[in-house]
Amino acid sequence: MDAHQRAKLDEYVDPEFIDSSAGVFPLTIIMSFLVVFATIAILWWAKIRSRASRRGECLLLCGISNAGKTLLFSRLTMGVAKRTLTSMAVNRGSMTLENSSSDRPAKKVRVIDVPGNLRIRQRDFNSEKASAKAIIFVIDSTTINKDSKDVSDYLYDILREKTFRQQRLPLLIFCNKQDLNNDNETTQSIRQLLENELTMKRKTRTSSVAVHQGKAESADDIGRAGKDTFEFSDVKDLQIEFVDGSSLGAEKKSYAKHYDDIDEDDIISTGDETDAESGANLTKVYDWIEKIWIK
Amino acid sequence: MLDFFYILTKGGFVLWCVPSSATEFIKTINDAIDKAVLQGQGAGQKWVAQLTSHHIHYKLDNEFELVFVLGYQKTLNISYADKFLDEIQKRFRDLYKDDLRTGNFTRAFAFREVYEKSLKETEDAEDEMKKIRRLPRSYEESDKKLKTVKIVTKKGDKTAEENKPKKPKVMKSSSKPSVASNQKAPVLEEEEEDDENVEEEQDVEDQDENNGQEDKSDEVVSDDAMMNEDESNRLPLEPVQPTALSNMQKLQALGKLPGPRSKGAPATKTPGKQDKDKPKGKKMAVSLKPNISDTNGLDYTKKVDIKKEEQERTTVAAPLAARPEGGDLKTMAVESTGLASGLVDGFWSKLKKVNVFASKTLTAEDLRTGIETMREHLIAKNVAADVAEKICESVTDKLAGKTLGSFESLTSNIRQAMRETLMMILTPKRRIDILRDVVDAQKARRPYVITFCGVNGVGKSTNLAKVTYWLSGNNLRVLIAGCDTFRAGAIEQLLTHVRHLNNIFTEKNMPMIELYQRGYGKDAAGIAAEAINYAKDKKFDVVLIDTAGRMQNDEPLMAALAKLIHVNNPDLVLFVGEALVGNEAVDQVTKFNQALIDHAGLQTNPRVIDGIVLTKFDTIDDKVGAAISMTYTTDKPIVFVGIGQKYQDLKTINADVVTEALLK
Repeated sequence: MDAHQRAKLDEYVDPEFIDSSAGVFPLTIIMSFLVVFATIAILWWAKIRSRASRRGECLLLCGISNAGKTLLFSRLTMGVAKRTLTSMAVNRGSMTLENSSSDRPAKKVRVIDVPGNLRIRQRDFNSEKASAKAIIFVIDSTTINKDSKDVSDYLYDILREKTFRQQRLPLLIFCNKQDLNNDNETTQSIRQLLENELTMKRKTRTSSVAVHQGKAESADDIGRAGKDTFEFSDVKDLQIEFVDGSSLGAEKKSYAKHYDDIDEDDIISTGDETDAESGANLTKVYDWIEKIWIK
Repeated sequence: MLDFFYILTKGGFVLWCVPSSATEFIKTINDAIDKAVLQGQGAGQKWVAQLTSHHIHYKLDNEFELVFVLGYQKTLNISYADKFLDEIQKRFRDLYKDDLRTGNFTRAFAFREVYEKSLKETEDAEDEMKKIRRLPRSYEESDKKLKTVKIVTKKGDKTAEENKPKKPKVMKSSSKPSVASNQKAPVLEEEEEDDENVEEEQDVEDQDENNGQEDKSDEVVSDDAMMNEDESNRLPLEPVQPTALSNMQKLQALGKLPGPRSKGAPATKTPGKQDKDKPKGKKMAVSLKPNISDTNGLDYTKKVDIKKEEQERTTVAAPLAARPEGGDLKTMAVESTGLASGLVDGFWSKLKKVNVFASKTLTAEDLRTGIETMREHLIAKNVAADVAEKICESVTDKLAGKTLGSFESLTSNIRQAMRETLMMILTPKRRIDILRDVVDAQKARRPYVITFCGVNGVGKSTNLAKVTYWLSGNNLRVLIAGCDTFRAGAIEQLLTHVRHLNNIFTEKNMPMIELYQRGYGKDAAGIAAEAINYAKDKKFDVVLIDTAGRMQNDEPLMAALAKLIHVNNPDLVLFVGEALVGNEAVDQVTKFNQALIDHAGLQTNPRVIDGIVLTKFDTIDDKVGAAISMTYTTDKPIVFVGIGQKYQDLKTINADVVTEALLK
């Protein structure tokens, strides 16, 4: 009886023993998996969040070479007009919008300046376009007649971009350098010129030779489908506005307050600040930016 | 003396410049930045501006994303420019390191004094150097002294230096081609292992060979003896002796000296001093080795620590006989995939080297192996050799001094930089939109004229027909001018094309396409002029001029082509080149361009090639290097790509696909 009982007890004990030890083991495994998953989830969420936070806030400055994008960038982000040369890399900065009316805290706007050189424009534009909330397309008003083909080429690419059309991106066409000559083009004539060019561009682009092994691009036509000529008013997917102005204008608004520690003397002595005092300035651009970011 | 000096960020902000107020150089610098830095054309960080007669030197600082540019007049000769750039870069960085790191570009950089001081110091140092250099070099310092030994090692070829133990064998087998080399193959392999027993093996082998080779070994040995004697009699006033020796050595090494070798009469070709050495024969060679003191080339023991990778991988440049497989194609085929996989091997071995947890600054030394591999890879993909070289230089410039983030590997950085460079080369500076330009020409009531030129047999006439098909499909009336008045059947070929295409496009009442020809043997330029006038009268939209194929070094034909182009002034000059061409591509486009400029006559703005048509693209799989060679040399875009022999086989180039194919 005793032996039998003991044997039975042994039997009884053993499975428990096994079970408990087995019970500990999977528990640790499950715990460790949970920790790993939690870490991955947290990292992924943080990454998504940072990307999303970049997405909605960037202002893109585009345009062909020598249009004045980098100068505009320095005016917006730093408040000074630094001397510039051809950009060969993307400029990133931020500007602060001071809301003079309400008491909301000043909003920060990220600005990205994409180089205009044709060789690097493609790659830089493609990598930055995902984070665009609004685009300022800068045009040199003094040379627009000569450069109309290149300008319309670039503008055509922007107008055709699917992601922009889906989000109804605001596009400001900024006719720069109005201060240089007196007889340069007005906004209206530039608009007309671009419309003519884009009309022709629509035709030639669709009938040009296909790209070898290229992706089958859906012919996203700009403007109204049936109409022969292109007009900016036909473009419903993007909010297009035309303004003129000059990046060199000497007015410093309150947007650059955090750079006010710069001494006036310092800047002028190195000959960096160009002091143009003619009337054309950036007020219209600032108004437009405010309109978009502070709704 | 320097016209300007600019310090700017890569984003385009000028941090500091002298002269501080002048704006006349801006255009020059912008142009230089575009060509030299972006496209990678500035060889060795120098650039000669074409239009404004400036020499421009620049230096990239990849750590802080800065560019240092200076320029001076072409007529001056400023030798300290590069040193000065380095000096200024160092000083500027040291002074403003913190500001540069935080990106605080709005502050004023009061750099003028430091600059002036540096300039003065550099100029003084340069004057000092000039004074010292007036004394002529003594023999000790001259290059000739090193040459006596190096010549023997096959013009300083690195892999040949490694295989120095096989040198006697190499020289023997190179003079007796194919037959002997196959026999030598097993012997060569044995020799790799044992330096010491080289001569002994040689002895053993020689007893089996015929007389001639035995004598050759004598030659080799005695030449060593000769050299040793010269070394021991080293006198600075005897330059003649070493040069005579080196020429001899050179010729023997190349196996070019005929006759006397096989006859086995050494006395006839080397100076008499040698006779007393001959009887000692091979044994002499063995005992010679320890005595040679500072002849680097004969030192067999030093080369053990060459990088493992280079020994494992045989480079393309190694002489045939020196390769371990001894010219056997099969093993060579295996080796070539080793080149591609070498990229992967290189990746893993480099990953071990890369410090994974701390950031590392890249130096030129780190980049060297990876870039070398990339260069060979490009050459294997049919990129011309000098173009590959220049591309690798520009990639090195771009990466040198860059800080690697943690977990970034060297290879991925190199690949990324290479991809960017190749994309930039393939992206045109100006997009050529033919249809748009035709519209302009129509408004001006004149035809749009395109000329096709190129060497023989590249596909000018075929691709001209494809372009005609495309233009006609866009409702443009095309006139083909048959200016190939030389090749038999050229006119008939074009007539056939015209007939076919007119059959396809039969909507309008008048024929869409016509051929203007005046038979064979006439002057091509005259025919072209008449064709253009005819087109203007009959209101044709486009004129396509087909020219005869010609070799780029054929002077009279190139002059005739230049005359055709300059007399008729076409809107577009297209150079037709085939994708199969390798190093020839560079030569072709360069000589064509040069001929057009040389024979321009009195024109101030000579026409050059405006675009490239790359044909037979379907026959190369991924060896697409010709595209890179041609665009790099001319800086002009590839307008069309021919991918077959039917009318529809005309496309434009896809830069992404070509770059990926090159990097695969």
